[in-house]
Amino acid sequence: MTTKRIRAKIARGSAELAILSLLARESLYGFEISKRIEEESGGALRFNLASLYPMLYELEKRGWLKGQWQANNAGRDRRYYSLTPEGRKQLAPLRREWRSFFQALDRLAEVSRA
Amino acid sequence: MRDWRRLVSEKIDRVHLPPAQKEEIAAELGSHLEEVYEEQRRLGLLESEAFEGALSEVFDWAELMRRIHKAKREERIMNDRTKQLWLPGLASFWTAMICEVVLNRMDFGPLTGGPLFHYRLPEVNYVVWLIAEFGCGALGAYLSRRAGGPPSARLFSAVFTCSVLLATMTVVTGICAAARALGLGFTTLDFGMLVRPVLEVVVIPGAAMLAGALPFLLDSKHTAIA
Repeated sequence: MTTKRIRAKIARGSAELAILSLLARESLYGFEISKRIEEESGGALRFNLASLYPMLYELEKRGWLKGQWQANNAGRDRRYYSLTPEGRKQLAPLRREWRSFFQALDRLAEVSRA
Repeated sequence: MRDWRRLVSEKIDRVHLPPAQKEEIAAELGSHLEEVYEEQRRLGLLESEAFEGALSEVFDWAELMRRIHKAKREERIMNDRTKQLWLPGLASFWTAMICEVVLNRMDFGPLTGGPLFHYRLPEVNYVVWLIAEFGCGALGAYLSRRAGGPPSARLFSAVFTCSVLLATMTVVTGICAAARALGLGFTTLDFGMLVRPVLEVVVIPGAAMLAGALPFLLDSKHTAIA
């Protein structure tokens, strides 16, 4: 597996975790999701339109998210995404996987002490 | 004021998705770009800079469309026509065929036995078969309604078996007529004798299937589970 592929897999997995974690708290629409991820990660993670929507549609296809048109605070129609019960069920193992991944990486590369 | 939805519609025009789905994607992506633009304007950027900034959200539209198409496509492995018409029709057809085989094996005598032009249906079997056809019609219409099919799809799904039988009889008759014309046999072919098989195998069972489908045809609500 090339470095590029590994990086793409990590980016994809982390994006899934970020989106699911955010939507576990509340329903949000696309632009809000990208803003919140950027803000809450201190700018380390950033989604633009091209990276966000294919991921949302993919998660929706898996049945982890559900999109629904609603008016936002400004009265404009926006497609709000919320976590489905199946998505909520997926979140816990995903969190565990990432935790063990970072712990393993930390043991190996001593990232947290660097 | 810029029409972001239209801008996105033009960009995604060539992607192979149903029009309604494309419209929804255009509305969603358009609103996203609009919010990026407005945010950049609030930050003090000039109109042209904010516009460029919004457009820079997508580096390669073709690649984005490919990814969206991939994400959306598998949702629609089966299109509406397949779910609402062909699958219920085939389910009804195969159930009818299984019923026929089972009834034949119950030793009431041949259900549709004998050569096509010396057609014979024992009465008891025929009545039992009609009851089965009634259930098959109901099954086809029910499955079609369950998949959100309109009344026309439910009707076709219900009488699909009869359509197949009629088509088969037409083809067989055509072949026999051609063979007779070429002097290859069937010297006693009499089209008048086809009336009874058509009535017994197509028209009357069709009516039974239609009767079975009736409760699902009259109910106009679509209960799609897709």
